[in-house]
This record gives sequence, C-alpha cells and structure tokens, in this order.
Amino acid sequence: MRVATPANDNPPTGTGFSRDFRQIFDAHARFVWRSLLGLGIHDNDVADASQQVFLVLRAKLGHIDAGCAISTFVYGICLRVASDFRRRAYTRREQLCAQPPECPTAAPQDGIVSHREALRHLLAALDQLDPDQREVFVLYEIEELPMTEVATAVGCPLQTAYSRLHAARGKVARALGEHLEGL
Amino acid sequence: MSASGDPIRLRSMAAAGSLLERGIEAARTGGPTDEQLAALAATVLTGLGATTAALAHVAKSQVATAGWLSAGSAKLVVVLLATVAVGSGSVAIWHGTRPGSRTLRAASSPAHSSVATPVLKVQEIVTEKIPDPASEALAPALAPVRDHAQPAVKGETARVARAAASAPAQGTHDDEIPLLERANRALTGTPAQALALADEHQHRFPASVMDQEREIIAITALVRLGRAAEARERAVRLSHQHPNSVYQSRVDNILPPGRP
Repeated sequence: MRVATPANDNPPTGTGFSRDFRQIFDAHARFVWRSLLGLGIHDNDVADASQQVFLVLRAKLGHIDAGCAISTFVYGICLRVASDFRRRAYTRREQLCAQPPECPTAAPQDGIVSHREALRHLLAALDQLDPDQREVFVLYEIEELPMTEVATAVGCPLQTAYSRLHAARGKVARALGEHLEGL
Repeated sequence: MSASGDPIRLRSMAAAGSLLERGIEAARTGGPTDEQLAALAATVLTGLGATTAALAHVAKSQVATAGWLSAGSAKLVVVLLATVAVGSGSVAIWHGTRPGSRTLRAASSPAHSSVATPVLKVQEIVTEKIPDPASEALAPALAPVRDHAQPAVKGETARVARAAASAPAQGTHDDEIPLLERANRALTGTPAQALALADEHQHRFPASVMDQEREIIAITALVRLGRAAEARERAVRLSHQHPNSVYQSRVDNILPPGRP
C-alpha cells in the first residue's frame, strides 16, 4: 500500500520538465524516505540520502526514455544511494548501531512492545541480512511491490529475487521469534 | 494483491500483534513528518543543496557556454547564488527553519563525493524555485545543466525545446543575465558598483522573475557599504513580496545581527 499523495492542484507553471519533476517528487518522496530507513540508513542521514536520490533522479531524468517507468527508476536509485551510504557509514561507527538492540530500555506500558521498539527490532534483523537480501525484502515486504518490479529495480533475474526473498524472510522471521511454515 | 507466484506477504503470515507483524507495520507507516517532507522539498526543488564552491565551479564552466534562452538563466541563477553566497561569507547550504534542525549537506560535499553513480555531478544540478504559495512569480523555464561528460541525448534536446516554447511571457530577457552577472561580480571589491547595477536591473526589468536574486545582490552590497539599515529595509520589502521564500534564510545570513 502506497501512501496516497495529495493531487497537485497548482495551475501549470514553469516547463513541462519542472512540472513533471515536481509531480514525481510528490509521488515518491515518502516512499524514498521510508525505503531508505528500511534499507538501513540512519535517522540522522535519511534526509541527506533522500536529497541525493532526488538529485540523481533529476540529473538522469532527461536521459530516460519516455516509456520507462519512473517508479522503477526511483527504486533503483534508492537502492544505490542506500548502498553507498551504508558503506560509508561503516567508517562512522560512532553513529551507527551495528549490533542488534538490547532489551528495550524504556519499559512499555503493559509490556506491549511499542511501535518504535518493534521497528528497531526489525531494522536490527535487517542489518543482519546480506544487502542483496535486504533490498528484496524491503521492496517486497515493506513497500509491497510485486516481485517483477522488485527484480527490475534490483537488477537481477526474477528467480534470483525469489530466492533472496526466501532467505531474507526466513532470517527475519526467526530473528523476531516467529516460526512460520515454509520459512 | 500479490502477482501470481509471489508468496503471501510476511506481515499477513505473522501472528497478529507479533513483533514481526508490528515491526513491518512500523516500517510501512514510517516516513518523513510533514515538516521533514517540506524541508526535503525545499532543497530538492530549488537545487540549493550544493556547496558554494561546487556551484561556483559550475558557474565558471557553464557561463561561457552559449546557452539556451531559459537554460542560460537557470545556470546564471546558480552562478549568482553561488557567488553571492561566497561573497557574503556564508555557505550556500539551505538551513532548516527550525532551530537546531539539521543542515542538509551538499550533494557534492566531500562526504558524498564517493557516491557511486557518475552522473551525480554538480553539473547536473538543476535550479528551480518552489512554487511560492503566496506569489505567482516563478522561475523562468529551467532545464538541467549539461554534463559535458555525456553527450546530450535526443530527449534532452526535445525537453529544452519544450522548455523554451512554454516559457512564461515574462521570461528572462537576454540582457538581464549579463547585467546581473556584472552586478554580482562587482560585489567583490566594488559594492557601490554592484548596487548601481542592481538598481539598473530593477529600473530596466521591473517585473523580472529574477528579482529575488537581484535583491540579494543589492542587500549584500548595502551591507558591504555599511548601510545596514537600508539593507534591512530592502530585505523586509523583499520578504513581503515573497513571503515564505526559500531565499529567506540566505537573506537572514547576509544581514548583520542587531535590530534595524
């Protein structure tokens, strides 16, 4: 389920290009931000990383065929930017929590795991995945793209995507204490 | 919702209320706050998120290029912003409007220089103004600055043609650009001259869509000339004409501290 974005009611202004880009931004900004978080970008970096995605997108926009799906393009850029950021983040250890979280520090009410803690657990589990597996997991399980789109965005054959997904699902489910059939 | 062959999604398989289900839900509903989104839009859609030095470099390499009508003005906006920022001693980085909010780093700052895609060069940065909700003064038709490492492709030519064709009636006159460029260059060393040129621009192009850029030059010149009160006056007028402008923080940085 994608977050609905408000229709752009502004009267057409500027060029077709700038209008298009604005529309693309409106349609994808939340997805980009969310995906980057899922792909392991730290809270402190996600604004920068999102900005980079759109800068790259805008730079390349003029070179895409009219028929190419913008969304797929955006996904691909997210993956690349996330990969770069993560690689560089390893040299900034003070900011990155590389280990899985300890037990939640703040006691939740009634022992119910809070939204934030559940997210932290999930992200920690994702951190343990191979980047290839993580990408497929995020695009399929969180952003809920169909696997054909996932494979295109990631740039691998569909079957490869399926097997990466399968591996990722098993690891994540086990890390979060779920034992599910077939995983 | 799954395509044939796609497995059932994990969150549907997980037990209700389980850590797995809640974790995935949290990830799905996470994302930027409205404020964060607006901040992101401000940088992305104005192209101000680039270092001064990088922009100045672009300016040097691009200004000499015989440009397209509208694209030329876009590049010059970059030039002006870059060099004005250099001249005023502030860095051309967009500042968040909330105190303590994170300054978005430039796309081409050293920390980002290792981004894999070769296309992410300063030359590719497009400048574009956010549609100002309170004003219909919008930037002239803009197009991406050309990356000399990659030959222009058919699509880009077509887009430039489209841009030129659909430029608003009060688009940028060819004469404006050299004038503003001279004004901007004059800021270093001859601010009085810069001010005179800015005023000449105002006289000759009263309805210019580059009025904000001109005013920034004028305000900077006034500050340099020690005429802070006039600088502030002009800044106040500018902010009335362009409320919520993304240039506001830049103007704030140019003005000396203290009360008018």
